[in-house]
Amino acid sequence: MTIWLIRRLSQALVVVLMMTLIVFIGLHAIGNPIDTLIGPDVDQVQRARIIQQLGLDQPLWKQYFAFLNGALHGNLGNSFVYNIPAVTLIIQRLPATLELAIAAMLFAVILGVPLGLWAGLKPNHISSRLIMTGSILGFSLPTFWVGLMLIMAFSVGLGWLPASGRGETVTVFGLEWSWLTLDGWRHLLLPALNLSLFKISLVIRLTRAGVREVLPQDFIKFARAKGLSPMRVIGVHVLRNILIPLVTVLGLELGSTIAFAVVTESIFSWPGAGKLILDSINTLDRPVIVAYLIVVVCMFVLLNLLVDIAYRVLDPRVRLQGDQ
Amino acid sequence: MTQPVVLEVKNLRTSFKGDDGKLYPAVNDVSLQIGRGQILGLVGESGSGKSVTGFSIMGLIDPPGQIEQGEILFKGQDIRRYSPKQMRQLQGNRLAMIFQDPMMTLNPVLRIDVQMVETIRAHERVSKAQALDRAIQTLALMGIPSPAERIRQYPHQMSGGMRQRVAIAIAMLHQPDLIIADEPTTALDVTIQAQILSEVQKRVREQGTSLIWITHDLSVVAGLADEIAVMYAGRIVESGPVNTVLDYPAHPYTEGLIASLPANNQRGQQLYQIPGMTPSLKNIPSGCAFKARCPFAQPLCDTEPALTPCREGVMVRCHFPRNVEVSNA
Amino acid sequence: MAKHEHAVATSRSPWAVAAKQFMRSYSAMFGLTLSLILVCVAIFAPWITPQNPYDLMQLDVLDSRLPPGSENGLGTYHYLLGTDGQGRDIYSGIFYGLRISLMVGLGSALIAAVLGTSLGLLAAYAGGRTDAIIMRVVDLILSFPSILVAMMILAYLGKGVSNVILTLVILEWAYYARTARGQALVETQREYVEAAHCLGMPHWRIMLSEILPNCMPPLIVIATLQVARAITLEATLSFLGLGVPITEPSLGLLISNGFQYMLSGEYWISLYPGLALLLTIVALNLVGDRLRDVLNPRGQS
Repeated sequence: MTIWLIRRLSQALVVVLMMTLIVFIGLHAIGNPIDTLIGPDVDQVQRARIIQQLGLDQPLWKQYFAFLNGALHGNLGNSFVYNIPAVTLIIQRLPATLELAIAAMLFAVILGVPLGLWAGLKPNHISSRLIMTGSILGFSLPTFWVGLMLIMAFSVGLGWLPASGRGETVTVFGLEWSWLTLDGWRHLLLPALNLSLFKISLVIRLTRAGVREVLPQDFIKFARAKGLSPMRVIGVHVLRNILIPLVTVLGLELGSTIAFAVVTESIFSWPGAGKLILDSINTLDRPVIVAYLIVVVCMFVLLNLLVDIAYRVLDPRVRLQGDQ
Repeated sequence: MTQPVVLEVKNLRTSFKGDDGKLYPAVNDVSLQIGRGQILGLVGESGSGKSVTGFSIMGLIDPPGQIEQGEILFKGQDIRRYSPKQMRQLQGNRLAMIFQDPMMTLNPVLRIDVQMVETIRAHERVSKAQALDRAIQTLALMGIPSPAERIRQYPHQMSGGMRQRVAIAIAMLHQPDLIIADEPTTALDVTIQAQILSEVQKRVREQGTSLIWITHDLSVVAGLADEIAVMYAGRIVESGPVNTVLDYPAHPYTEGLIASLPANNQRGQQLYQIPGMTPSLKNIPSGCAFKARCPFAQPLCDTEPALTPCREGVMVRCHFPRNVEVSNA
Repeated sequence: MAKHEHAVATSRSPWAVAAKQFMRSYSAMFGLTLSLILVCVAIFAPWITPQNPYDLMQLDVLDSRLPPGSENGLGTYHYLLGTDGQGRDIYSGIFYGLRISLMVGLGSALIAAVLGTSLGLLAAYAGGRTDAIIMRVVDLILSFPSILVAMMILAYLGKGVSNVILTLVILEWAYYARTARGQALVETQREYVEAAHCLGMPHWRIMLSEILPNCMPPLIVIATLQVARAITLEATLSFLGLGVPITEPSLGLLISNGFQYMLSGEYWISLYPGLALLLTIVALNLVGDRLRDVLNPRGQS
């Protein structure tokens, strides 16, 4: 296990390094990096000073190492718009996005797994067919359109839930979280639901496929032959087997959920990292864009690594083989 | 039989619905009787319906299969009429089953102790600790070394033979009245097979458990069973005390089976094989199902023979049973 | 299925069999018909719409934000689905928007298909380093969420229809490459390839005429689903303001334009383009789903 872990970690490191290289090259290949990192309305003297400070007159490879060095220390320049370090800005906004993404995943599991189980256990029932058709819709409907519909229905039409913004927050570890307040949930509900629709469909289909694969196996029959209650057979024997591929897929999807939150954040004016990057692209706040890329790439690679580890822990066959 | 009857199956018919919507019987007019502490060997090739018979008794037939008719009297009660809840009270408790492939019998992602403790607690109100103790004891009884460590392992960490012992241990947890073993040693090495056979025989004799041993291997049955029933194309074609039937088979099929045993063939000579193939479920011939492969078939065999007594204790389904002249010694 | 075996054994091409099976599904046929209608509508938009919403001469600002069914100021004409903030007829706008959406979706899918398939076949046939390099790039592209990659590329390139198509192609070719390579790998092991080799056929000919046709079925499935995906992605990007410019609005941009009016209850500006988008995507997905069922289980990957 340890050897595998070391190997895996070094793999992850290589990917991160490669990505920083790509970002760095992108910085220099597309347009003048000086313009990229320094604001357009800085006078000549300031420019010269900052150029020296940031080492932009150094040879390329030196710059790359400076860039890496800066990244390691969390220094990737200041935002043009907010005039605070870009990395700080992103870290401030990250909790909102994480709340949204994790809430969406929770919805996906809480709603998707039971529905998928039902569709798998009673495939020919009309309710199951409805569920499966619904899942195709969930796949096909563009997220932003669903968001619009949700707002139309629940905010404009019924007036139950707010259409924008984040609710009250509580500060934990110096960061602001809104899931700890009731008002926070009122604001979180629609956007999380919106973001989760695609995932719910995915979970339903995966769960159903898993059930159909596991149910006819001998060990399920044997479990029934032992006189176990149907609840236990499904809840423990079937579910445990389905959980492994499900967790793997969901774990990998968490990354893309965080990225895709951009759309939801845009519609619901949710102050997360996604909205930040969108605004930054529109205002050409390049340092933030660069910092966002680096942060997201690191997050991604970390997530993939965690999923890999989780998979090994969950599936005893894989875990114990490595030891033998 | 002076022993109290544990299981009596009367005219069981279990069928499967084909793609065309018609019902095809896998088990047709099967009747069995087992007394307390008796071992019945249910013999037949694959496709003969022997496994389906076992599942029917256990109540594990799912659609597209269904039990069309017959009675299954377990200790006097017709369990065919039981609700699923009532059946669950019997399953794993008074009535247990062992499957063929031990790797697929045990859930690969759950530990052994979980799978054993849940069986105990499904039928008795005991604490987890007590259940665990019982489970460890039963494992020791089945000859598994260092059971307290083994029980915390996963199925794939054990050999095939050991897994099967665990399965048998699970079956015996509640000292059932009847165990149905569906080809439990087929997937194992010959040496392990012999070990397990003798273990099972010992336990069963000790506890007075009745046993139905389903197999295609006559040699296994010879050393183990008291009674034997031979199945072909869903029907019982011969049944009786094991020694009588094996020494003086009445049905040509039984004769053919015995003849094709390697032990009964001359070294260097071509193995005897019954000509032809077992009919598939949809293509069972009318009349005597064996007639196409029988060396003694006559025009009368176009009508289906009934199961009739032949000699003492032996029933046979044939118009022209063999070895009838042999006196009962 | 035994009953049909006789019928199939008599020389029917596998394409005909697949087509027949495809046609058995009502939802798939519905999807196909709908898709074809939409394509025709998009092609003939300038001739069938009552108004060209992008010809400023035809617009009347006084007619802006009228609900569906209203008349225009001169009483000559009914706005079937209402008007938007500039007085543009939503009904006509949808047709023009459909044009852009379909053009981007189909165009990018086509280019990506050609590019991706070629690279995939190359990777499979050449093997070794070429294969490793190409597949590494494919893995890299596929492991990052498309929205992120698209946003980044468009952030650098800026808006524009051709930029959007380029971005989509960069994202999509990887799917085709991976599938084509997988299929081709299976095919290259087969005997007829060896036979062609022995006959002295040049490599590219073998790839084109022997291997490619056998890789088609899963590629067709992917292509159909990718068009739907491309249209969705373009709509999302345009909605976010990163995609097509305001002068050539796709359905996504139309929806985006109408968003600000939603909260005041003027829902029609976003709703109807949204429904049109929906119909397009659902139609394509129905077709693609059915194609997948029909073409895949026939022993292909």
